[in-house]
Amino acid sequence: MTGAQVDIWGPGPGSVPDSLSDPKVIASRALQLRERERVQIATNFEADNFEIVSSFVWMRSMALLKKQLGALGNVFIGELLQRPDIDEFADIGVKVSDAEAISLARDLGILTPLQTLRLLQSQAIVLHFSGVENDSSVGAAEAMTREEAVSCLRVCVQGILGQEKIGAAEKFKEFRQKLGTVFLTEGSPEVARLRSSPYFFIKTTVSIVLALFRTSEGAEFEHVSQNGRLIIPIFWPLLKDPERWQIGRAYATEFSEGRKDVVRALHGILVSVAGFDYVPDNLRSNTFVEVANKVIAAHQGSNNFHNEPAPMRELANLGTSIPTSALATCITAVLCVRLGTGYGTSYSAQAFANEVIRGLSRDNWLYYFNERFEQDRIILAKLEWGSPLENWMKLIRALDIDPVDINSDDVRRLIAATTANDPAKVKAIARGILSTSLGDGQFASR
Amino acid sequence: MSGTMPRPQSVTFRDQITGKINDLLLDEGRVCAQSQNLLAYLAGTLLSYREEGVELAPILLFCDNVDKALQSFPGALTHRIGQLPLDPASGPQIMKDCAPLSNQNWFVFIERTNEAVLNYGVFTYFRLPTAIPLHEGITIDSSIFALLMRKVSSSTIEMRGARGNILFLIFSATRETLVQEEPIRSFAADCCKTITDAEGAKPFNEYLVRLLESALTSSHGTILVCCDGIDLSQIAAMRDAVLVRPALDLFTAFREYQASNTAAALINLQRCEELLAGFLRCDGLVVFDVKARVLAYRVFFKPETSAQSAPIVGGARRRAYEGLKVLVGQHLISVIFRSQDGLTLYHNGALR
Repeated sequence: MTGAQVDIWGPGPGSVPDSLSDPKVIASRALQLRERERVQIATNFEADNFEIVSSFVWMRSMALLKKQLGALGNVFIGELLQRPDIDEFADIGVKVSDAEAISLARDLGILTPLQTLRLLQSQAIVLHFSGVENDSSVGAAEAMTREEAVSCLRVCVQGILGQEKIGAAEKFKEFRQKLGTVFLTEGSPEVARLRSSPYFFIKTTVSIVLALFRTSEGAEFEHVSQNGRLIIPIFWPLLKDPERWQIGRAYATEFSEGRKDVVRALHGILVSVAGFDYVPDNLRSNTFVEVANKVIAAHQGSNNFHNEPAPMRELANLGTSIPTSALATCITAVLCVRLGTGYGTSYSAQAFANEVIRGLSRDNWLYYFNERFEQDRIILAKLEWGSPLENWMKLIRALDIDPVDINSDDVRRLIAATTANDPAKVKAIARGILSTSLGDGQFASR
Repeated sequence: MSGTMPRPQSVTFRDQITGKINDLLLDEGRVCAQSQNLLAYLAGTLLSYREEGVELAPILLFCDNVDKALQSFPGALTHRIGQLPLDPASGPQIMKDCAPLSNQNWFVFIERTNEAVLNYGVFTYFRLPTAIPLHEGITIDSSIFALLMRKVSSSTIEMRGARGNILFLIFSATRETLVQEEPIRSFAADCCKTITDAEGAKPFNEYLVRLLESALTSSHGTILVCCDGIDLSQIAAMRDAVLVRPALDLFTAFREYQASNTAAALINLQRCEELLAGFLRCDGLVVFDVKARVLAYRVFFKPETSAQSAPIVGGARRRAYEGLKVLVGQHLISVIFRSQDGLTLYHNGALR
């Protein structure tokens, strides 16, 4: 990537400025809500019912967001999230976690980087207070502040409730449509723009191509097939291992499901990039990815302390020999459990997480830091918070990873800061990496 | 007295076979007399190969580079067994060493390493019930040289190249014979008639086509009929039947496998496939319904009248097929016939 970064697709302007802090005025701009709901929000603010109003706003926002994401098609969403368990029969509202929906909305250009960051922060606050009655460690006097509630309402209206029509950004839709209707060339503006886009656009483009392979037919498939054979080889040298494995796994899955046309198209791509090393021998990795995603979903859902142990135990029971193609997702899942949230960890899940960690080699960790960490928004977002950051410092320092073995400058600095026991620096660098992963370099710490 | 002594005459198919194999090799981009002769030998041998009295019909892959040829097959695993001169005389040794090892999951490869030498052995790949079968998968990469040889009926050997060229070697004096996929596809579609798209009709249909193709190929001829909720006891001509209770529900097993993706569901589906293969090994008809369930087997068709409008060439099974055609439109939706020779006929009442 060179020069200024370009957003190949992105959100339109918002209608609620950051300076607006009157909940009544903000609520009045929530076009996706009914008048009755807008009044109730204002009333609850007046009555200082901040937890209730925030929970309601959050629930409605996420439901709307997931509904709109679902309109893109379940298989498509499953591919974008690399969730083999999301098939045409899945309920997106249940299967996709809030954090996944937010992250995906950023990838599809529905949200800006800043809205994404703020939504992730609001999610942590809302989730904490929604589970408070089940957590005796939280004092009765602890309550959501007015500022936290206003911030939650504002970002929900800015990104979701205030949009006339929530959906993937128009430019994204155009791009997706073009992949299925136009034969792109190396000189096409779309390809040129993609060359100077942040990594996640390239990553998302790979997912879109793979998803369209599965869902398109006839002429659309022919276009996607040829465009895939053009685009993926161009960006293959830039692709990280998890994305390469994603393509290889798609080949193995399609082969096993008997879809010959798709297999032929993917075969053409893999031949041109000499990528058959990334085709797994069997579908065992899908099982690991599926269970790891269950852990992540439980962690990001409400009542996570109670819901994490079962899937975490399932993951530990799959054995310690994790296929390379599933390694990145499994490490994310384990870190979710071990780092916990701003309010602690799930005690019962720790033993199972530790069991998986004991099976991870030094090379496994290096693989994670070199190939996944810079794009791991779930874990990067955690390093903003005291308790997860503290757990990170303990866990990662004990691994004794030599920063010299890390390829990326930012990640190397973060590991060095971890080793030097400097949490403030780790937090700052993590925030920079997260911003970059969201396509915004403005918060980068360098 | 003068005159010529009677001399015995003989006819051999060798010239025709080697000629056609040569054409196929040319179409697949390979010119090699020794390969041609070896393949001709193997085709003849494969037709009725026996070891210890047991008939064996291995699928053979002939290629330049086995690793490259199997690159398209996830989880491919090879065991090299030996090296021999590239010569038809090596054929018996290859068959002796490899044929007994082959079965539904293991296949034989012959790798022509150069003009004089071949390597041989066995291979397998990661095969789930829905996976692309070997004879289809061989055409995924048309840039390589690879030929697949398999016995598709008691008198027919099929050779299929990576570029998609197919040669049927029919060791028979009859005129009509061809293994056709279209009738199987039509019959499978009839069996999926009441399965909706939302229930997953498309992937199941594709699976059923491949399953029926494989089951029919390994049978020694059979007749399958499709019907919509009939009571066989009410049809005089089909009353002699063994009912399957509960019906063998292939679709439910398939759907469970797709939904749960568990080993238990996989085993269950494979068990259903094995039972279906067993039904097809039995004499008599096999009855499917429009939800792809097997309702009955060993159904013996007894026509009420033996009058036929035109003479029928063929055995009892072929006559049964012709008789069954009368029931299509009344009790049956369609009928498919596979002869021992590989002839496949389908009838659904439409003029063809």
